[in-house]
Amino acid sequence: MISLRSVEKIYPLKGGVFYALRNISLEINEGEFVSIMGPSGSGKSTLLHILGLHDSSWHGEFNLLGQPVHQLDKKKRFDLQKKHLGFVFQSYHLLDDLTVYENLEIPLSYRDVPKKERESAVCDVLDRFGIVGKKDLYPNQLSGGQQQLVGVARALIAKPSLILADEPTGNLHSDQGREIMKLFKKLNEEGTTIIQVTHSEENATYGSRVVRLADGMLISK
Amino acid sequence: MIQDLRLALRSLAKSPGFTTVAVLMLALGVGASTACFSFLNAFFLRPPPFERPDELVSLHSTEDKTPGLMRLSVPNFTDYRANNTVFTDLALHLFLGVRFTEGENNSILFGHLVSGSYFDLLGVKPVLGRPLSVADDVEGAPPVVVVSHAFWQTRLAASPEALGRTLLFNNVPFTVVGVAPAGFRGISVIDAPDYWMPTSVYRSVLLGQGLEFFISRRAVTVSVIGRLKPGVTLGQAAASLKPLSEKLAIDFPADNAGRSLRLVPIAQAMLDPNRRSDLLRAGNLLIALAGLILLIACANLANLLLARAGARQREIALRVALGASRGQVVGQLLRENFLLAALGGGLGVVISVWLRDLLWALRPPGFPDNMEVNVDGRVLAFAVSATILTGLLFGVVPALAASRVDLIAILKRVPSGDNGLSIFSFRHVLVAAQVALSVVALVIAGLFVRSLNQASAVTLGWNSRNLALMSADLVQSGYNQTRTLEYYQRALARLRTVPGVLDVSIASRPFLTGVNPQRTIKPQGEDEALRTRGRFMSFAVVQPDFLRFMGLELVAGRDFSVDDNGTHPPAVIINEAMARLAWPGQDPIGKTIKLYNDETPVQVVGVTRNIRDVELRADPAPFAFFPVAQFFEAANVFHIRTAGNPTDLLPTLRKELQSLDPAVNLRSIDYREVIRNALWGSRTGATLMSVFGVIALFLTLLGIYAVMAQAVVQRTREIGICLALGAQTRAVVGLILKRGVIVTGVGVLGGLAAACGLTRYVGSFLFEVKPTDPLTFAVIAGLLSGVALLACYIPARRATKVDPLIALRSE
Repeated sequence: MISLRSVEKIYPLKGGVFYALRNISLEINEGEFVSIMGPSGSGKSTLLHILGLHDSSWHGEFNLLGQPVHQLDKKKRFDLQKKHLGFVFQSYHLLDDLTVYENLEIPLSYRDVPKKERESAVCDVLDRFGIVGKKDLYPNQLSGGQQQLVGVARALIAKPSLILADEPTGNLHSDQGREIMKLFKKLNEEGTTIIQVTHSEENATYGSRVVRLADGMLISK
Repeated sequence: MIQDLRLALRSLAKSPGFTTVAVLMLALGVGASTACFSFLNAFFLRPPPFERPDELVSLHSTEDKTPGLMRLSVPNFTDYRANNTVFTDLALHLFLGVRFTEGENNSILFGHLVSGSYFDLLGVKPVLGRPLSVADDVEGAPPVVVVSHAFWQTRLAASPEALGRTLLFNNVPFTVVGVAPAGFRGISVIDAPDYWMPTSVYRSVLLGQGLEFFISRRAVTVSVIGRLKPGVTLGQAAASLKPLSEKLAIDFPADNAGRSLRLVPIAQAMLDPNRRSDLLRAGNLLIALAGLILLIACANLANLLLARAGARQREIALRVALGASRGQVVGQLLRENFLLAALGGGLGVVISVWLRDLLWALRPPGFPDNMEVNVDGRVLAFAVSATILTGLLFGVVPALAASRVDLIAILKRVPSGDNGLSIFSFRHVLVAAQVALSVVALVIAGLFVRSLNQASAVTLGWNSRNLALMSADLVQSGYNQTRTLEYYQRALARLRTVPGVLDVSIASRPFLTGVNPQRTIKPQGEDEALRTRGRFMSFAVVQPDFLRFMGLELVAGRDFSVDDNGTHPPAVIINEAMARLAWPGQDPIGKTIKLYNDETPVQVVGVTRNIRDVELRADPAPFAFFPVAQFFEAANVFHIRTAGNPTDLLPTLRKELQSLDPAVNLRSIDYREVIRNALWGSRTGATLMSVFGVIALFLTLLGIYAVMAQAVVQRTREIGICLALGAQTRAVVGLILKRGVIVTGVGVLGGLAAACGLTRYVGSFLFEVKPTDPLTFAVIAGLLSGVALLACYIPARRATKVDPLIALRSE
């Protein structure tokens, strides 16, 4: 599903270049649940944003679902991202002005999904995550765990084949964190490929593989 | 779409403070522009309410050495009508006041004396009855009248039975044959006639000099309109009429030599064509200034939106991360901005109605109060266009800027490297532009205020202190010359006995009221054209003591005396302007003038200083004073000097004159009101421009303050570090002020340069003030710099209150 060959991310500084990522080569297969770990500043989030196609200023080869990302123009990368990727953030990043229902609906509206289909998809997800009763609430009316639940539901609503999660339990109590990780596990068992960045060894145990980074370099895969 | 709008509305509702300020700024800008436009629309753009108005033209006389367009004489009109080949018809109209009797009450009602074909020519159909016809215009035809819709409603109870009723004008019964459509005013947009009468009745309604002038070929008394034959252009018509004008000049040289004809499209003749361009320029100036306010409001809003975009970066980044394309993000922000513009525009239309009424209250003296300055389709279209343009102006750049986000930095919550806006940032450019626009608005306002000061302090050349005016309408009351002179003598004697009255005199015209009777005067100097044909010049017929009474200074010769009567040779006192025109470099005393159709020489016995007679602003024009005992004038005005406030004495003065003859219509006015009216242009200009200037200043200060305050917020960390390292308060204030000083300085300099180029367009509105008046420029530059620095100082001062611990912890 994902193939990285000698991927590098460089920041030019006055005293010379700084490698945020150096010579990263990595394969991730469909159906895997990969945890990227490492100390702060090791390049975990940088790698995740490259994988999530948010970052395009890097060198090397990156194939995603058979598409050579390194050769695609901005629009095609954007289309690939919209079609196949879902993101879960550490601090939920729900849109404060929108209700739970509207937060779930928004990725679909950006994909020009017709209104009827959007309604049906949102109802389905609300049902599946057991948050029907919260659909008219605003994010600030939810607990952290509930907000992250909505965040995961939102990442899933467009039926992505790959979910990228950046420390998804970083802002949660341990019980809430466990619930979210169980949810990821379940989703993975249902066929969704998941890549998470985490500091937590416990969270990593929910996954099938751990990739470790240090100083921008891959030290284990 | 509805959902998008709902979301946009919710987003705006989330920031009520921002939304309120933004909507109010826009409403003020759109409202001011729309209000100004509604006047421009009513006076200049509304199509004339006539059938095929493009075919209609207004005919005017022009004369060598007499500036401007004049009306026509009735005999000339008759000749043009009979001999032209380019018009389907010509019609005349004359605005006049006639005594109207209703039961016991007499009043003067204003209306039009018109040709029988007037209504047919315009294609105007009465709502009731019939229009005047050619048959009504035949001498000896029974007197008939078409009344205005307003007259029908107010005086005839809007009854269909009004047709056939008899109305008494000048004691002559007129039969009502029709009611004009609502809003029909005739040709002039500012006339408010109550009736239209056929010219066949002129002997019944025109009296004294009015009657004399109506039949004279020399006197230009009537307005004339014509309908061009299909396919005939204005140019072809003018060329075709030229030989007719030349023939009239040959056939009647005493009356028509030097005269020609000018055609004006009817749409340009509905306001006095001689003042149309001035009024149009005044209207355009108002619109331009309102547009300037709108521009400043847009710059302010763009700035606020850019600041808001900074605060919304996380939300926008998130939307992009969720799959929103840049177009979708820009679209959403534009929807919000256009919603803001729509709310501002909607409120602006409401404000424009209020502002329109406010502006209407500042109308020139003498304008009727029932003008229709409506919010019609054209005004609404203007408001909508202004709103859309506004939305584009303030909305697009911030939306584009906001859609350009550093996704990863924001999602990773990396602290911004921005140290509070670069000095060259777009927001600073906007503030500098606002300052520059404000300087332009304030300089213009300053020039108008200086102009008002100059006009208020102008030397009139005569004494206006404690002066009251009273006029008695003796002609309309049927007085002949003997009775008139007798009335004046009795009235003078009576008025002089009233306690509080210091002195009384009489003149045929007061100064500065805008009324400017003229007659043909032929100074017998070296200029042949002047000597033989003369030209129209202003004049007054006065009591022998009038010049002394008014404090007019004689520079040569003598004043009138009681001996200047019928038994002595006729005498005239002229002003310096006429002396210079007729006898340049010579002593005019003893020289003579002649009047139209009168070969009797009138000897110049004195020369007065030039005075402000017709208008405060006008350059002195030739003026002549004639003694009343030698030149009878039926309509005269009592000039009454009082010991105290003239207004207090007016009721007593009226009562005294009414006791002489209760049937005579009297009008009275305190001269201070005349002076106020004469200063109307200067005062209104100064008021309006000052209001615009203050709004511009306020909006600009708001803009400067907002940008500086945000810079302080964005630089909190930097300020915190400086303070933690021991920086003095002065250093922190300097850090923030430096930026404000540079931005304001650039704006002020740019504004002064722009004002230098632009103020020449207002030069003609100014009175004895140069458009580049250095004092005004310096004061405005100082004022704006001072208050702008104050607007910077408040956030700078706040910056010194930053707690270094809190500032650093927040990062």
